[in-house]
Amino acid sequence: MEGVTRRGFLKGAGVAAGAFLLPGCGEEEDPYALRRPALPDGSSGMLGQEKWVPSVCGQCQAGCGIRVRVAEGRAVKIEGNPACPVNRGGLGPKGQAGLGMLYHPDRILAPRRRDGERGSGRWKEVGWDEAIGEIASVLRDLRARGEGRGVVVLDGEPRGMTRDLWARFLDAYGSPNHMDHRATSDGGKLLAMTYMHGVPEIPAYDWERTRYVLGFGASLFESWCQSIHLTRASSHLRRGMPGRRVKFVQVSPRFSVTAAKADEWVPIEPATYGALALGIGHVLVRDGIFDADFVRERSFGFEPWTGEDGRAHRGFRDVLAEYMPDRVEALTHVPARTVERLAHEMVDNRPAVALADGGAAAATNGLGTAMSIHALNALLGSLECPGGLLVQRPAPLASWAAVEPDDAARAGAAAPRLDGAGVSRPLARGCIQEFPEAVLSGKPYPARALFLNRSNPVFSKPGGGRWIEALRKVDLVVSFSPLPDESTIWADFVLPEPTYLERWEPVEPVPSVGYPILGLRQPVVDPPRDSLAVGDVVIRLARALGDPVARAFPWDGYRDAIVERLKGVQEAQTGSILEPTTQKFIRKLQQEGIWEARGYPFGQWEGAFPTASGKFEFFSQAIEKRLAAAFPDASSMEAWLVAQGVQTRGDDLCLPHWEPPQFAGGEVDYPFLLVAYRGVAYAEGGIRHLPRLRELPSAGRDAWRERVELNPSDAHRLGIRGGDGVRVETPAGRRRLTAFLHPGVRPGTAGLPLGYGEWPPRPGVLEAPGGYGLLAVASDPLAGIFALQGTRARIGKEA
Amino acid sequence: MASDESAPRSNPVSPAPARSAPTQPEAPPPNPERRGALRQIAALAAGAAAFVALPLLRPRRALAQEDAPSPAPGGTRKPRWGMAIDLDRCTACQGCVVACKTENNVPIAGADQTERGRGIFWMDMLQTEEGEYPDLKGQFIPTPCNHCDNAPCVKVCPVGATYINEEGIVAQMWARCIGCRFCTTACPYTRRYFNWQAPDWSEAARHTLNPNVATRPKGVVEKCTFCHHRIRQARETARAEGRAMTDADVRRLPACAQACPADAITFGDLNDPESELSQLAKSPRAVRLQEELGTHPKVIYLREAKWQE
Amino acid sequence: MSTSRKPGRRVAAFCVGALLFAAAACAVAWVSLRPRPHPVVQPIAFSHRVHVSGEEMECADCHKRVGESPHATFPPVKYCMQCHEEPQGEHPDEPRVREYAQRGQEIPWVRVNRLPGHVYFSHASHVRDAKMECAECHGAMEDAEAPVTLPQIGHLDMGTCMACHRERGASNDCLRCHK
Repeated sequence: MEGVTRRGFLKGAGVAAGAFLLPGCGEEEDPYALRRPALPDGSSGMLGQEKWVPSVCGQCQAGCGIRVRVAEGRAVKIEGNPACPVNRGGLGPKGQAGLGMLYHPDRILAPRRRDGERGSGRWKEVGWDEAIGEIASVLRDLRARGEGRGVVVLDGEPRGMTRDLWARFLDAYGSPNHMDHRATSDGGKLLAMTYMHGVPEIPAYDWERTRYVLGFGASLFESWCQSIHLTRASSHLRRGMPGRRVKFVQVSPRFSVTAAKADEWVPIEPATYGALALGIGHVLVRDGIFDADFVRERSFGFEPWTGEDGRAHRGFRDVLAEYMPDRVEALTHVPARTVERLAHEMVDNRPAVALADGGAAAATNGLGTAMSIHALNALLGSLECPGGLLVQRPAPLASWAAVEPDDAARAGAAAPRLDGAGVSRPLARGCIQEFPEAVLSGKPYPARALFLNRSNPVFSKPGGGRWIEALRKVDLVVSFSPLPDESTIWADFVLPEPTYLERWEPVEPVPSVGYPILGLRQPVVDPPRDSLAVGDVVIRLARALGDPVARAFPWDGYRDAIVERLKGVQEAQTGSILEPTTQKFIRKLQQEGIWEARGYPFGQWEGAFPTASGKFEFFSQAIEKRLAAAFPDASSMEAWLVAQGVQTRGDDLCLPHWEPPQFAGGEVDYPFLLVAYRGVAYAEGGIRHLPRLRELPSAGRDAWRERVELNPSDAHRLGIRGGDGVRVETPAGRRRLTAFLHPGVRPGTAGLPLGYGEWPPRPGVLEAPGGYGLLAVASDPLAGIFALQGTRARIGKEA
Repeated sequence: MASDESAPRSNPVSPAPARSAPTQPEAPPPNPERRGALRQIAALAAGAAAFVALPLLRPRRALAQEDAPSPAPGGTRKPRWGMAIDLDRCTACQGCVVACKTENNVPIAGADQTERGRGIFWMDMLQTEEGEYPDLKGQFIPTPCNHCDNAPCVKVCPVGATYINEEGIVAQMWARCIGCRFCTTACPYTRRYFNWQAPDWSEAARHTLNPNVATRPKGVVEKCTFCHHRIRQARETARAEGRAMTDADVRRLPACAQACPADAITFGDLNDPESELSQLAKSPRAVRLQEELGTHPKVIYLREAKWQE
Repeated sequence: MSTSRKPGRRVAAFCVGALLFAAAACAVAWVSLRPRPHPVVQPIAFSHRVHVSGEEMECADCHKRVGESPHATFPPVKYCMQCHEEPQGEHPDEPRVREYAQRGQEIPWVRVNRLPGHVYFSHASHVRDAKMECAECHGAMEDAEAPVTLPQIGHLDMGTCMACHRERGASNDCLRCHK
C-alpha cells in the first residue's frame, strides 16, 4: 500500500476520467455537458460564436438598458447597459430573469383560434392572414352597424409606439375605449400631476442632488416604477458624496424592505397618508418655514381668493390650518412630535422631496392624498430645481400625420367610455377596474370586441371572477400574449407577439432622470418563424378594413412607422447620437442601445405649469371645470356625493384634502385590512410564470405557495402557525393561502404579496386566480383610482 | 510509485495515432487506451484503494496548507481574491442572486425541493427581523461563499474535491465530489449546496445554459466560485492585449458584482494594497461574518451607516 | 503498513483487498463494454491534405480564431466562397458548397473533437501564448485526405495535459482547466 500516493490516485482518476469522457463519447454520457437543444434551424449553432446585443429590458416599464450575451445562437445572459442613464450597467432580478420569458416552456409560437368552448383550452393553429381577415370582418360589420364604439383595447403600455398605433387605430375606426392600467397602478400620482402641474405624466426626480426623501408608502426599493434607478441613486446619495448623506424616511403601515432599508420608518394607519402630509404642511406654514417665494410667485390657490364671478374661495392655507399635529396624530397614529420633526427636518435639509406611489394613493381617498403629498413639494420649493421634482422631457420623436376621422369614427370616439372615465368617475382618465361591470350590465352600450394588448386583467385586476364573466360575454376576444395566461385562455384568437427580447420597439422609459432618453429594443435572437409584432397586426388589420381606417396607416409595416418617428430625433441633432441620416442614426442607436440628451433645464418657468393659471395650482381649476361639467347643479352634485359616501364638499374637492377612507367589507365581518403589495420580483405579468423570480431568497421555503402575511400576535390569537393553510375571505372572493408570520405586518392588517398563483393556468376555472382575485373593486369615487388598500378580509385557520 | 512521466506510452504531446486517423476513416478507432488497459486497471485499483486511504492522509495536508504563506512564493505575486459588500448601498433587490444563478447554470429547484429547503443559492440573501411591531429592525445581507483562508469545508473533504487554489478561491471540483456532504455541514455559513436531484431544466431553458460553466449532476456539492471562469477570461483578454490584469478589469467581474444596480459589491485583489477592495477593507465599517471562528473569510461587509453619523 | 500485527489492520487489509478486486472487476467490465466512438458523416468530403499540402494554406486561414479565442472555430461558408465562388476542380462536392452559400446556410460540419463538459480549453492560450503547434495535439492534418470523422484528440487525457503543463511550467491548478 505504500505505492498508493495522492499522485497515483490522481493518475488513476485521471485515466479513468479520460477513458470515460474523452474518446468521442457523445454528450449523452457526460454528466457535465450542457445538452442544449438544437436551434430552430436544426443546427447546434456556430461554435464559439458570441456577440453582445444592446436592447432595452421589458420586464417592467422602467426602461433599463440591457446587453444580451448571445453565444452560439442562444441568448445566455442579460447584463445592464452601462450607457443607459436609467441603470448605468446594473440590472435587477426581473431583468436578470428575462431569459425565462424568451425560452419559456409554455410559449405560444403561432397564431391560434379557439377550437371548442370558451376557456376549454382547445386550440387550432391558424394562419395570420386568415386570423386577421376574420377579425377584420367582425370589426367591419360592427362599424357598419354603428357599434364600432364597442371595440375595446386594454393596453398594458402607457406610452410607446404600440400604444400610439392602437390609439391611432381607434381614432380612425371610431371608439373611445382605449384603456390603460394606470388607474390600478400610478393613477393617483398621475392625476395629481395632471390637475396641479398641468402635466399628464408622473414626475421625474433629480436624485443626484436630493438631500431628504420622505416616502409615503413609496416602495422605492421594491415596486416603485423606477426601483433600479432609485437603487443606483440611493447608493450615490448615501455613499457617493463623502461627508454628506441623504435621509430616507419611509411612511407605511407595513415594515417593508424599503422601510427596513430607510433611515427612519414611520408606521402609520393605512390610507391616512394624506392627513400626515397635510399635518406636515400645517407645521411648515404655521412656523413660516415654507418656500414663501415660490408659493407667492409661482402658485395659485394658496391664499383664499375671489373668483371673477365674485365668489370667495378657500385657499390651501385654510385647509392646512385644520390639520394640527394633534389631530393628525389621532387620524394617523403618527405622534405629533414626529410630524413636527419631519417638517423641520425637510426644511433643514433642502432640497427635500415628498413621494407617493401607487400604494399611497391607491385608496378611496386617493386623489386628495396624492394632491396633499404633491403639494408638500411646492411648499418646500422643490419643483424644477436641482435635487427636486422634475417634469420628464420627451425625446423629440416626430409625429405621424394627424388622423382624419370620418363621421362614423367621430361619432364612435365621442361615445362615453365603458370604464366610466370622465362620466361616472368625472375626474378619472381611466378606470379599468370598473370595465367588467359595464360589460356585464351592457350599459351604456355593449362591448363587442376586446383586444388584450400586454394585458392579463383576469390575473392582475381586482374583482374576482367578474373579469372572467366579462370576457365570456364579449363577442370577440383577441389576445396578443405569447404565454397562455389567465385571460388568454378565454380568448377566441391568440396572436402571439414576440417577447421583448425578439422585437423592435423604441422605448420611452418611465420618467426617471428628467432629460430626454430613448431606448431601442431590438431582437437579440430571431423571433419564432411564424410571428408578427402587434404593431404589424394593427397595421394589417387597418389595411384589411379598407378606407377610411386604412388611410391612417400608410406604412408597409410597423418598422416603417417606427422609422418615421425616429427621424425626428435624428433631425433634432441633439444628444448622444448625431448622424447625418436617419438610417445611420438608427444603426448607431442599434449599437448603443440608448439615446440621451443630457442636461435638465432647471428653473425654466416659462411654460413649466401648463394649467389654467399658468402656475402651480394648489386649487385646481381643471378639477373645478370638470366637476362643473359633470354636475348640472349643486344639488345633483350633493346627492351624488352623499350616495358615493364622499364627505368632502365645495372648494376642498379642488384642493389637496383628506377624507376618511372607505373599505369593502365591514369591520365586524371582516376584521383584517388587506395590505396588498407588489414585491421587487413583480415583473410584467406577475411572478408565478418565472421560476427564477419565484425562487428568490426573500420568498424562502414558501416560494411556490401563495402567502398571506400575519402579525404573530394576530396569528397566535387565531391559533395559526407559520406554514398553516388559512382561509382568506373577502367580499370579492375566497382563497386558501399559506400563513407567513412576520412582525412587520401591522396588527389588524394582513400582507398580501401579489403576482403569485398557479402556473400554467388551468382552462375552464371560473374563480379568479392570484391575490387580485381577493380584492374588491373599490375606487376613489371622483377620480376612479383603484383602492388597492380598500378591501377587508376574514382570516381563519383551514380545518 | 508510478509517476506520469514514467508511463510506458508514446510521447503524449506528439500524438502519433491521430496522424493516421483522419486518413483511414474506415479503420477501427485508434485506441491507445486498449494498449494501456492493464495499466489502466492497475491505476483504477490504486485509485480505489487511495479512496479508502485518503481520509487518513487528509489532516496532514490541511495543516500544511495553513502554514503556507498566502502570496505565492517566488517571482510574481499571485492575487488573493476577495469581495466587499457594502450594506449601506445594498437595497436588497436580489439582482445579484438571479445574476449568479443565470451565470452559473444553477438549476431551478421547483416547488417540492424548495419546500424542503433544497434550493441552491451560491449567492443568497440573508434576512433578519428583530423586535415587535412597531419597534423593528431588519437586515438584508447578500451572502456568497466567504472563500475563507482557513476554510473548514476544505479540511473535512475526504477526497480533495475542495481546496484553496493558488489565488485564494475555495474551489470545488464537481467531478471529484462524492457527495458525502461533510463540507455542507462544516461550513459555518451554510454556503454549500448539495444537488438532491438531477437538475431539472426544461428543454427550452437549456438554451440559456452558459457554455463557460459546467452543469452539475445529482449527488454533487456546489458553491460560489467567485466566477473564476470570468477571472480566467479577463486574464486571457488582458494577455491578448499585452498587458497585466488591472483592478478596473476585476472590480465588477463576478456576475453578482456586475449586476448590482447599487454598486454595492466590489471584487478585487486583497494582496494589492492599491485595489479598491483593499481600500474598502480598511474602512471602519468593515466587518467579516463570524470572524471569531478563525475562518478568515475573504468577503468583507461594510455595515450600514446612520444618517448624520 | 506492509505487515499488520493488530487485528483491526487485518480487517482493513481484507476490506481493501475486496475493494481492489471489485474495482478490477468493474474496470474489466468497463473496458470491454464501454461505448466506442462512432465515425460521423461530414456534409462535404473535405480534404485537409488538398488544402494544407496542396494549396499551402495555414490552419489559421480557416480556423481563424485559433489565436484569439478559446475555440479555433469552423470557417463560415463565406470563407470557402473566397476561393470556391469559381470552380476549383472536379470534385462532386464542390458545387454543393456553393449551394449552401446560395441558400444562405452554413455548412453543417459535425464537430468531432469534444471536451468533457467540465473542462475548459483555450486554443488562444496554447497557440498564441504558449506557441504550440496545432499538430502537437491534432497530428499531421496536412496528410488527412478524407474528412475528419473521428476525434483526433481521443488519446489526450488529464494526465497528458498535466504532464505537459508540468513540463512547460504552466499551472496545474484545477481551476485553470476545470469549469
